[in-house]
Amino acid sequence: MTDTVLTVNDLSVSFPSETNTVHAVQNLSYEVRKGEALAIVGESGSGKSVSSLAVMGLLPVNASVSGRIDLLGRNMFELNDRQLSTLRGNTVSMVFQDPLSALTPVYEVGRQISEVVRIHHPEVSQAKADARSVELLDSVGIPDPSRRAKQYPHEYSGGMRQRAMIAMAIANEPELIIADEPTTALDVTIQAQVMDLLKSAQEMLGAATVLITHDMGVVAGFADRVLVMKESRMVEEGDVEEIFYRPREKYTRDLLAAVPRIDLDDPSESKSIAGSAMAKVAEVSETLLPREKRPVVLEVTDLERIFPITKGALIRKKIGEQRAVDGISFDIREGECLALVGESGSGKTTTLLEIMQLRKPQKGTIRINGKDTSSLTRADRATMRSDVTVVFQDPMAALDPRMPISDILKEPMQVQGYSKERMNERVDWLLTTVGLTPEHASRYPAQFSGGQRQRVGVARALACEPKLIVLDEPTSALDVTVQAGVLKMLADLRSRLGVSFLFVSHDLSVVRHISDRIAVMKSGKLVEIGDTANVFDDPRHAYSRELLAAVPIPDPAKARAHRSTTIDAEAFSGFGESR
Amino acid sequence: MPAPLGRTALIRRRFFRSSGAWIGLTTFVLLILVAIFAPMIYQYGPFERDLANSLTGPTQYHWFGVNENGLDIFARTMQGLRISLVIGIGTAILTSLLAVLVGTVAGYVSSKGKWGAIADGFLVNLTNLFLVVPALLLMMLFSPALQQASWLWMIPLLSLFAWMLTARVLRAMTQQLVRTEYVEAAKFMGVNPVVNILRHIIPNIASWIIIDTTLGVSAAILGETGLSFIGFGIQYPQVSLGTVLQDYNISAPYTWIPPAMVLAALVISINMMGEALRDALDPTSDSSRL
Repeated sequence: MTDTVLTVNDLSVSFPSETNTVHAVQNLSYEVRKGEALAIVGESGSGKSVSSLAVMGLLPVNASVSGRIDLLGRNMFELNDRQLSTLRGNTVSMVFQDPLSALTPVYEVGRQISEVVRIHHPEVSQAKADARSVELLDSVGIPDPSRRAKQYPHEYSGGMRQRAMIAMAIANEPELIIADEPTTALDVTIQAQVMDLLKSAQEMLGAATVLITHDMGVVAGFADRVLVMKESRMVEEGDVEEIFYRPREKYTRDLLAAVPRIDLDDPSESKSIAGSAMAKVAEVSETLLPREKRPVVLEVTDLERIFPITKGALIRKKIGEQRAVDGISFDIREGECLALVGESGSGKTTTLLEIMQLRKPQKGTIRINGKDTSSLTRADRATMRSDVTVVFQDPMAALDPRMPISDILKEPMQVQGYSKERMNERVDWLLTTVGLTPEHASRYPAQFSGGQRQRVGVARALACEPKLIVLDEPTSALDVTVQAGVLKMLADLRSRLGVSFLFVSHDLSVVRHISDRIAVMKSGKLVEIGDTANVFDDPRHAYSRELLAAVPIPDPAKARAHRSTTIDAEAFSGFGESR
Repeated sequence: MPAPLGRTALIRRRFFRSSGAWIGLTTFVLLILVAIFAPMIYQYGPFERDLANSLTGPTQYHWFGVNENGLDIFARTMQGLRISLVIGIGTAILTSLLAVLVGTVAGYVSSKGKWGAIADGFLVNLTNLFLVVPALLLMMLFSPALQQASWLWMIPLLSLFAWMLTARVLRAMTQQLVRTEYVEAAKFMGVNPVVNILRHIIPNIASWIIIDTTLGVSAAILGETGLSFIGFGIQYPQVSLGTVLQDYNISAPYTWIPPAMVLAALVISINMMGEALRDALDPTSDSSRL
């Protein structure tokens, strides 16, 4: 076929390790045609990134590769590094996950783009290449491109960096663009813009695209064909409609079912595991007292946290202030789950830390079980530590790697002065409660998967029978199928133990299935607070609407309809003529 | 699929994969055994004079020869090796203890509000002060006075001027760890700061401390022998490798080559072990690749 850009045939990649060989990719075959967008979907460790690095010829030297990769009829494995270099950036280009580390911090952004142009077209003068880089930045929607081109990467925001990366990727009008998790590091509203941009860039150039992602929502709006990978092997390949509406393999169905859906209001309609668990919780909470009659667990009024911005090393001069939390008020009743939603930098984590400090805030009051934290004695504060506990975002970092699980779980109980027998009893109970077995107690955190570690984190938070658990993005570092399991467990714990949750998240679709009430936060202020259903059905604040619109929907038809309303085609007008 | 190796087994395997580890460990163990047993069986003591044979080369009675004062060089080298080893290992351990104390405390309190920042600033400035004072001159000043009490005073004296760089590195590592979620979690549980440092921070910087202590042994030995060589270190009635070297006679190579070789072998073997240990403990080093 003449319009086939990339053919991967029976690709296998393996790495030697201390004890055995790790097979990263096994017998993978696919092809991408001109103008086609292929999405490779899989969870972490499924080999999706390794397969794309193999296409670029960027695998580490100790990898052993077999199979065949043809790019425009040339066998990639027969080319030496010099020949590959002429292809990279010109015929194939790549957009990386982390735009901060993908751009060199010591050169201006415009210069980095013009460098890509000049490497492959040495005949172009520097001045012309610079002009071209300004055009490219303009075309990807960077405002004031001629000034921005002279700025350094640290002066760009995350979304702008990723736009600059896309500008760099399309600079030489490549035949093939490989995008490796291009939006994972970005906020949801920025993610929507970047995916739209990537799609228009691809349509503009007619380039073949390989999108590597774990997010089914992103896939639905972008891809023509989908390839699902699991544990280094291909599970299923097909058209996007086929995969989403008529998946053949069980794993694909599980993957789709695990994605929390924002577009379905009735949880039972969603096949989502978390959704159905939530439905059960809803039944339970109906039997509870009405909200007004339940005791208040946490009450925050007019909380403020302002960080001064200082300058000068010896004599510190205050030159401004960062209003991280700017007068927010909310309360949580017993057995309730309040979700605090906002994008990065909105002050969610600062709010959470202020509550966890259990000290007098800069301004405003924090009351826990009716007690003002500013009036606590040392002993009161120590006791209160058992009432309010926290679960962190990163399950890898939240558990001390040098301590066995039993010691990790005993730590809070030791502080509260539990007896030895009681601690041992509780360790067993806690492990079974979070879906692990008592035999796990003697193991170390490294022997657990991400989801299991997060369960241990929850067990530690439960150790001293808390009234309130603060969850700081507890599932954002997990794969979707694992995330669904952890959410189900959390919903279950809430209904069984009656603890309250303060659930901090940036992901609206997760929040919909677990929370009773939602507080939307932007630049340190609460823009909207209300019942989950009300906020989703009838968001009153413009920012809430924007957030809701940006959430990717794992349904190709809906996602496409959605996209056509938000696409920014103007940004690309005039592209191509400029050459 | 075989079960993944435990951490200790993995490190042991990586350590013994390096030939440097084998050579270093064998030499070091050999030197220790010789230092312990040779003076017990050798017929001459370090201060026995055999003036009849002064300035003669190695013979079957005087294995390394005799110097111009009639002292047996082998006996003195072995006795000196003992002293140097004790001072080297003692100094390295004491140095690490001081560095861990200052480094972790400074790193831990630096994030704790205004008073923490002041305490941290004090410790950092103390470290910098010790870095800029002329350590050699001060050691030359204090050493003779302390020597009159006991030769073991050499250990705290050397440590006092050796802990600063390690403390600075440990402070930076602690600052990083304090920000990790498990240390934060422990704080939120109300764990006492001292317990927190002992339980969460020190175990997680232990590998660095172990490497630094190992390499610190050779640095301390070099420091002590240097000081002894110029006459401000170990003095009569003790003898160190530095004092043995002090009695050199350039025209009679056997008076200085054997002790110098022993010193070199000791320092190099320790450094080889240290390097191998670092490669084994550091997951990004070359030896973790196959």
